[in-house]
Amino acid sequence: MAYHDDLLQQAFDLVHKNPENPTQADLRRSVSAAYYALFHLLISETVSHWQLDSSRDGLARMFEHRVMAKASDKILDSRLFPFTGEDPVVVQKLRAVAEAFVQLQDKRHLADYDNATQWTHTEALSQVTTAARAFSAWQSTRHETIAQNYLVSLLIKPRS
Amino acid sequence: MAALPTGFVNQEKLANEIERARKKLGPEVVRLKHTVGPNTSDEPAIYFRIVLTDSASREETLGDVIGQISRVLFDELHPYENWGLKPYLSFRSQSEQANRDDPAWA
Repeated sequence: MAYHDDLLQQAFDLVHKNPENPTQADLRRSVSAAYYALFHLLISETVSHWQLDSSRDGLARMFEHRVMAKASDKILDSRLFPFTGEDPVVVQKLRAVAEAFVQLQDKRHLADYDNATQWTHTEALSQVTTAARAFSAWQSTRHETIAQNYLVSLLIKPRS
Repeated sequence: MAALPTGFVNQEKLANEIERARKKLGPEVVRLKHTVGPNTSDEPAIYFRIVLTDSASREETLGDVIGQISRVLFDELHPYENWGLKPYLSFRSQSEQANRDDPAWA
């Protein structure tokens, strides 16, 4: 399996490990793995278009978490991206991917660093499920032009 | 984390809008609470804490449930466009919440 698929499976394995009495470590790592699964899926999809295989890993290192979140924020704002004339079903699925990315990035930050937050099984499972739904939404939109444009936008730093 | 400037959001108006949206959610939502504040990147955000029935919290249904709730909150509130807030959703089951003394969710 691809790395992002392994990460999503790891997220499910961790959240399923002991649902009646889960440890905070398992729940928090499941949320973190769910975020990184989507992070690496989007990077993998982008760099797969680079023709020279040996350069793809280097290109993948160019992605920045915050830049990707900003790009995702933009397409969730209908004033910036109204997607006029586009298939609303495709737009909704693409926005579901972007929404999941923004959501999971924030939760990943809490899961990795905030010891004051006590996670429940449902809280963690809902984040892992969000990542899985984003994977599914991406599979059905990945060939659309607006989805490809989204991938490119993940690499573009906002001008200051 | 930095605090949001006072008056950044009309809290009363926002609460009214959330209550209006709340009425469009299904019976699987037991409770809906929210907090406005900075996210982990210090950007303005709204955090929703949603308690679900135990049956809605089951893994077989959870994905569809959170998808529907997310759509309703986005479509009714337009958090980016109308409020300049990034929305984040957290979910607990009713029985999980009952076992915790957590005023932020009560």
